[in-house]
Amino acid sequence: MQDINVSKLQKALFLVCDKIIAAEPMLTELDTIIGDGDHGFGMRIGFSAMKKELSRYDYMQENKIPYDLFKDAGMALIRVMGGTSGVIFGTLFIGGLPALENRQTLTLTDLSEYISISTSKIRQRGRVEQGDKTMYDALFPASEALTASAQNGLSVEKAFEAAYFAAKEGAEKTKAMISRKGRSKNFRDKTLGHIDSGAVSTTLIFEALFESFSEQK
Amino acid sequence: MKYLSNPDFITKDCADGLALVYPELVQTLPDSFNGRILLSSTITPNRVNLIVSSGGGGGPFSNAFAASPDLADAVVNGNICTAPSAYDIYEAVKKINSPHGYLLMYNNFMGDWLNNDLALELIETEGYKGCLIPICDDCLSVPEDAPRSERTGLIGILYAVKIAAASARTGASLKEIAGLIEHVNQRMSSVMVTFDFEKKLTMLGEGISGEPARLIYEDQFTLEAAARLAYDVLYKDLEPEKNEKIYILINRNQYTLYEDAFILSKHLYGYSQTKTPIHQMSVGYYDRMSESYGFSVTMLCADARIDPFMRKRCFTESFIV
Repeated sequence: MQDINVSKLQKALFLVCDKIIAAEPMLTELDTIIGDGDHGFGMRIGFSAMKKELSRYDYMQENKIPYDLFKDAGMALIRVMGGTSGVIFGTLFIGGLPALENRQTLTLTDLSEYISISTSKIRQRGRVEQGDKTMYDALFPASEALTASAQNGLSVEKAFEAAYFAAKEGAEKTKAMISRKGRSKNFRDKTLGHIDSGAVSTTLIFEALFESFSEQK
Repeated sequence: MKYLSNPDFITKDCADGLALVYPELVQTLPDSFNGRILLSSTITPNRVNLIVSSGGGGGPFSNAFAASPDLADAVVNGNICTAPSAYDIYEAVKKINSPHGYLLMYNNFMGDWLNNDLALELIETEGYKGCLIPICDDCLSVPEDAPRSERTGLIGILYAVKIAAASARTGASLKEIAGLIEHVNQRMSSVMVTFDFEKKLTMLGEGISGEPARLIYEDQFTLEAAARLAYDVLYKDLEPEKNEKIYILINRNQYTLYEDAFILSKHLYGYSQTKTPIHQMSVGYYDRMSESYGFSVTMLCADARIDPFMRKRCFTESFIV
């Protein structure tokens, strides 16, 4: 794939929304075991709002740039969702915006920098570290995989494939962790053996991006 | 929880209904993005304002905070069991438009903190002053050696809001009220008491989302015993001073009988005579988030700095505190 334009990104985000919306029952079940059970509901509300927001117009035809698309996506989540997920997943989309200013199309390096900055901002805002059993345990390795792929000159499809598998592996590892953040931390040892629902959502996002970029190459 | 209404709109529709029934007490903000903001009908921008935020679906908590001339100026609800969005809090601030500043009050859960923290950033960029006030009263929500600031919140926020509101009405500054509530946070503690009727267990410290209890008793399955156990935990946590008055707040959980709540209060009062006698109690169905049979019990040790703001009973459409 050559540089990524806003049209391809808009299509990719639609697939992200569809995957998250469809996953509501599974995410709810995961969060009910070791949380307050609101993750699936909140993600469905948020990504439905994002889909509605991004459906207002064709960003390419309206001469919008990726910055506008990701800003609209993130603000939709922050406005509607609430909860931990609203701020954290909103920050995933708007935290890295400074890397995209005035860019008509994006290279893999641009995208990896954008996600890397978003990842840092999530770490700062949520005061999370790897091993806390949160979405960050999937996001950080995915971001690192993207950065490495960009440095090694991989294609966008291959880079997002690597990011997806890194996120998936990171999410799986949360099964062996005891939660140290959010409502689930109060379940203490009972969180062992259960995957973190936020990490699963993060994996779904990277899975959708990988699938969409692969289809559009 | 089971609802006949659509969970996507339940907090908005409830807010609309509440404002229609008691327009003299509370109003909605009709043009707000999510429609889940309630404003007190007696709101004024001529002093520090209190904005209380919480997840929706808790019954009177937190809607009723705005349905009183003596409590919060605005309430911002989220979806069911979900902290409200930062944007909703920002909208409430813009509507009130006070130059004196805002106390953003919430129970100390991660989602509430994140959204209030982001809301504070948003309002500060527009020149408003604000202060985050997390309430951390659940004494069994963290290990014994953890700092008090890491505790989550239960129902003590009722007392905190009452005190902050009374202080704001004297014209106190944002800094003064924030300092007062920080002191309240140090002198207030709550414990959840729940019962397992099948196994005849009395449990202390169960979380509102079913987090396991910290203390479980097999041979204490009476209200009298529960009162003693709760009082002892709170007493040990706070170690009341001689110059402090004891205030007790009892919240009935979702399935708890009205009668049992008052019988518990009677036992608490009686047991307190052996230690430090209770000065005043409040009993109500403030928050129904815990789907269990039981209570949360809050103890506030009020010294001369706190006590003047506790004297007046505050009435809402749902409860008295």
